[in-house]
Amino acid sequence: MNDRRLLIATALIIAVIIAGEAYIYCNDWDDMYNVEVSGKDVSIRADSSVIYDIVAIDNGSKVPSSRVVLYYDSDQGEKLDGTRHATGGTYLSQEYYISQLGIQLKNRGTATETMDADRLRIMMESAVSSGRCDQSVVMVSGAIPDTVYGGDGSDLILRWLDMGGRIYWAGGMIGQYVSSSDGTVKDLGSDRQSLFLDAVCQNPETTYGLSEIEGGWRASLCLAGNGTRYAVDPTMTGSSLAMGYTDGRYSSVCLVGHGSGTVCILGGVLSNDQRYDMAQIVSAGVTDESVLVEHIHGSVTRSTVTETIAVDSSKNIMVYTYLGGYFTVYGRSASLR
Amino acid sequence: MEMGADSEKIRKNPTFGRILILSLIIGLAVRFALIPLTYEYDMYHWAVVLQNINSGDGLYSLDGYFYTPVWGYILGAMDAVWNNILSVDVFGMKVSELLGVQTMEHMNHTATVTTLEFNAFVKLMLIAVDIVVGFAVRSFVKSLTNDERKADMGFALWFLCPIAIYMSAVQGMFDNISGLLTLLSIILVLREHYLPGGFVLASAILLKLYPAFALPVIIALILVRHGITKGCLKDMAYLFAGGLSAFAVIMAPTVMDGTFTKAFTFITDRAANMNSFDMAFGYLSIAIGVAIMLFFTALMLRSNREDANRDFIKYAMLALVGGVVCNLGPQYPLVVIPLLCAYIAAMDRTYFICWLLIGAGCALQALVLNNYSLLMPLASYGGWIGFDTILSGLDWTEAYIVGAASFRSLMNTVFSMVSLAGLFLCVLFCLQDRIASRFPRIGGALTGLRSIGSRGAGHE
Repeated sequence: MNDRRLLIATALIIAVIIAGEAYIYCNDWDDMYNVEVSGKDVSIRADSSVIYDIVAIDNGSKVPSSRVVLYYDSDQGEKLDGTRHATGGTYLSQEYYISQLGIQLKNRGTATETMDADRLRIMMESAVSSGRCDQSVVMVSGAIPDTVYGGDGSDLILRWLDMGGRIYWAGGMIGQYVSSSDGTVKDLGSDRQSLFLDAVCQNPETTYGLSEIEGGWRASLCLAGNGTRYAVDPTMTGSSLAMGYTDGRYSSVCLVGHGSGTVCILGGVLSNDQRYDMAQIVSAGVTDESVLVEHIHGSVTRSTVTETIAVDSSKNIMVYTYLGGYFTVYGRSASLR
Repeated sequence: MEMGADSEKIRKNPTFGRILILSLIIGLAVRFALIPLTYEYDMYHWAVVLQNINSGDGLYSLDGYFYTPVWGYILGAMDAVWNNILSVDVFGMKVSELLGVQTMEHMNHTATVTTLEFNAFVKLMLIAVDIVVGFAVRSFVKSLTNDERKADMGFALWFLCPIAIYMSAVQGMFDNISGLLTLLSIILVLREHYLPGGFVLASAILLKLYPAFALPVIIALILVRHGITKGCLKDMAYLFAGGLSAFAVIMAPTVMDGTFTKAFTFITDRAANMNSFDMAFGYLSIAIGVAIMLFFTALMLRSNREDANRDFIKYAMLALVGGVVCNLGPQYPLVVIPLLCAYIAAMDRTYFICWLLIGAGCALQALVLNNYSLLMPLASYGGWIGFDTILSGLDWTEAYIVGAASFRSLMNTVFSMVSLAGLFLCVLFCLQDRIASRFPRIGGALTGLRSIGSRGAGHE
């Protein structure tokens, strides 16, 4: 090979690398996909080849969430018993988990705000006093801040739940630990979970679900996590909806009714699969009363397709559309009410 | 003129092309036959990288890509083809029947299995890279020897190397690109193209870190060529300007979006997860690897100007061997194997035994590590293998048979020793004269080993 050919070959190889870099960072990704819901018609546009899933959910009496709050306070103590992450991947701390979840929810069209313990208290107080507790709060701290919880049934967070609030919880026994702003954590005993779940029904052992729970939710939402430590035994609760995987007793995802509100427990220690499931469930707006009405699965290749969902629009229907299946790249939800 | 001379040679040499074409056909046939087998864990992560790119989150904003950016950029280029031309819409799916693999104690597996189409797409690109590497080796050997047959032998050694075949066609790892960029940077530096040489070397280092072990030898080459003169400073300046500009171009997006440190989590996370034994073993390996690199850099510095190019090829190769020794995994030697193939074909066939031990040892090591999991895509999408076969097979390979050692871990140790022997033999062969003068028996044994490669061809 003469020098000219050598340099041309070098330039071509470098060009491939730079072209890939330019594609990743200069492409207009915001315009890559779009979902529009008009009446019962769902239009999906993609500038690539991708699968889509349209999930129509009847949420019964539960109103859609008005805002999604991610709780994170670096000053407050936390109680996490290990995490699970890939070799070479970043350790799944509470902060990292929350920041990653925020991005995943944003990709699914769900706006979020991160709140510390004081802001959480103000938000809940305001919601309770106004009688409008239609917010969702994600907590992966393992301990609930003492600004809203002290281990008593009349605590702010439980009143807020009673009035319609939603908690999405992962990584520990709910209600057992209370955190303070000095970084300490107080153990109130695992039986305090009954304040939230009406029963002592969380799994204290490390187990995994290997069987799909019937009902179609797992496939419809492409749920991936199968950790069942801290997961709920749905048979011990009153109103609940289990989905995902079961180890025979505990369900990797379980939504439990609490007054007008919902407590959603995702099993397992903090993990990427669990976080992916959290993003799907929060974005889909699933509650303990939810009924899976319809699931449409299809594919679109550099074009627009329109699907019509056959639902009774007088009902409280939420339509969640996401693209990419288990490798979700985009999602949008819309209420038909 | 050159073409005419080549044509004349072709006519005179009836074997011309035969080795090349045969090895190309055999190598491609074996690769294509192996494509359906896949280690799902690595391939799953490439799918996650594409997912994150397609959601507009770049390489690092969302978890999933743990290397420095170059491989991510290459995946980005593939993604452009995927999005604009191809119609493969599914990357993979969670296979509930395989969930048991996720809780295995010692090996990383996921039940999210990528599709056969996805796997084939990534692997075809890597096989294309294998072909490019093969022709780069061939061209390099040709330029060194002006002998078509030797050049074809260089191609064949690379293209039929078991670990090269395994990594592109089975595991879907990108270390052959590391080997290509490293070889290219060596050739560029040899021909005194320091600016592009530095650029390509930095790109190779930002793909995987091992090519950095060649840098001191390159600096030594420049010193040997010029001494400490203005010419030396000029060449050094070109080399580092090339390297720094590559670093700037490649890392710029990560600086701008605040993910610069994320590009190095593969190193920091692995170090953080080591126990004290791993840490001690890791430090020992690094010390040995660095010592090998420094030793051959010193030998390069003692080289005379007439032999500088020839010595540079050898010492750069051996310094890279030091890099591989630092953290021995089945795919990592691919950074040095293209250069080793060129060295064997062009300069010293007696290193063939090293090629054999490294190539076969690494391929077998990778095979025992992946074992039954390779069948997961076939079971998930073809239904040709039962899930129970995979799960029970993995259980069998993981079961403790001696103390806390499983069949997999024992075989992994055996085959990593085989490849390590190949790597160390490269070093020992180079030092054979010194060793033989002190330890004649060892010198004799080394001569015996070297004769395996030179039998029938003569030590050149």
